[in-house]
Amino acid sequence: MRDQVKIIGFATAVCLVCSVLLALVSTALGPRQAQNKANDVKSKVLQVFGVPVMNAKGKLQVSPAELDTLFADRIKGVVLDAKGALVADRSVESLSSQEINDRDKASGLKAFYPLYVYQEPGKADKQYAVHVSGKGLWSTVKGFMALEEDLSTIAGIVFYEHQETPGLGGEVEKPFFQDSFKGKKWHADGELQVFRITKPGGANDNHSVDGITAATMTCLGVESFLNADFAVYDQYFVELKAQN
Amino acid sequence: MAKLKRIITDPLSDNNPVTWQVLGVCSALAVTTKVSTALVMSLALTIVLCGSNVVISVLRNMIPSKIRMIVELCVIATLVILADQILRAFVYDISKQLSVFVGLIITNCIVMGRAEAYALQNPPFKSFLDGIGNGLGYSIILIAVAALRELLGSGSLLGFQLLSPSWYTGNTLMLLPPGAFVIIGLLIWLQRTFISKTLREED
Repeated sequence: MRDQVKIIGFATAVCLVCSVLLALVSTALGPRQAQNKANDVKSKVLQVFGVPVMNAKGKLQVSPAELDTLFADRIKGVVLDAKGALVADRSVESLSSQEINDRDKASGLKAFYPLYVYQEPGKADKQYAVHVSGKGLWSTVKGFMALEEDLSTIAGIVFYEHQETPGLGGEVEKPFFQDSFKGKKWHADGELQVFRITKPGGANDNHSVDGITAATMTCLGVESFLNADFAVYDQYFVELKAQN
Repeated sequence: MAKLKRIITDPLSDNNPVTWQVLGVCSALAVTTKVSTALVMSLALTIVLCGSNVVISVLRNMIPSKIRMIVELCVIATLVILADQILRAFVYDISKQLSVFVGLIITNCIVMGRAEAYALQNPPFKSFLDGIGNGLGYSIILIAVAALRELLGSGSLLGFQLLSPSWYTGNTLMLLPPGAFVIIGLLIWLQRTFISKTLREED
């Protein structure tokens, strides 16, 4: 009996000490980690527009302060709803991760769709990037896709967050995969096409790219959310084109 | 003094955790495509190993033997989470590259193995040295494997291009996990044939 009490007492003490320690560290380092993550997302937005913030090895080559200035000077975020209409009273910064990543079960739509507008100071040209995200195999894959001026040709795509298997589905973050989207088109003769991620070697037109070997499920997920998300943004782009 | 020195030097070659006891091979395959990730992984493992050895050793007379393994796990898990949190706060890029493997230090048999086999029977200072020794033993192999893989696979070392792509075509096999198997196998053969004193004395 005394033995058991001792065992339970010891186990409780160890657990208490460990959990208090972890709670302390997590609270102390939390803001710093959140800042790192926010900077990472900012750098990925700039990267998708082709601003050279990363060096060849994928390391940030500007200071966090420069990153903030670059972002503030060149990027403007607007918010669309699930019908592709502008939502004036919400800012991109105010959107929670749930609002831009979680899909409604019935409609498959998200609450809000952030749209990033890139404009170099003193220039009139605007470029747009959309936020795309959805289920891969294990996790939610999140990314940005920038478009050329025709609002149909893909200028670049960057996946900035995922928990897919390293070396398999995790390859979506590698340049070879992301670069393969460049120059592909969403429309043919003004009609929105279904974008396909095919079996490796199967991409045969400019609405498809090769998938990743041994990452079929991740690729299927990416294909499905790219199409679902772009369809929403396209409603806005159609109006935008009609205005011009 | 000589004895203390042996605690550190033994695991470097004659009792190396990777090539002799064949522990920790999972991460030796996974994070050795580049020297930089191997370095950070080695450092993280060595720190976790020293920490867990010292803590377990301090508690060794109090830990009820019936729950000793779960207590060891609890201590190791805490240290691993600490290491992961610190990496995320201070070297975000590298923590992203290491992804799941820092978390997997907890399943690295070297940590649990040293706690069971050494720290439970020995005082804190010796356990600390044992942690350093085994951590270094693991690091040597990891860095050797990573250096060979990075050099032969991408023609670079620590990211500096040494073999120009104009005449050297990277050997992709080296960047894939089987490449690490081959290299670790070769290292074990090399060690057994030429370096190990124990085996040569037996002959």
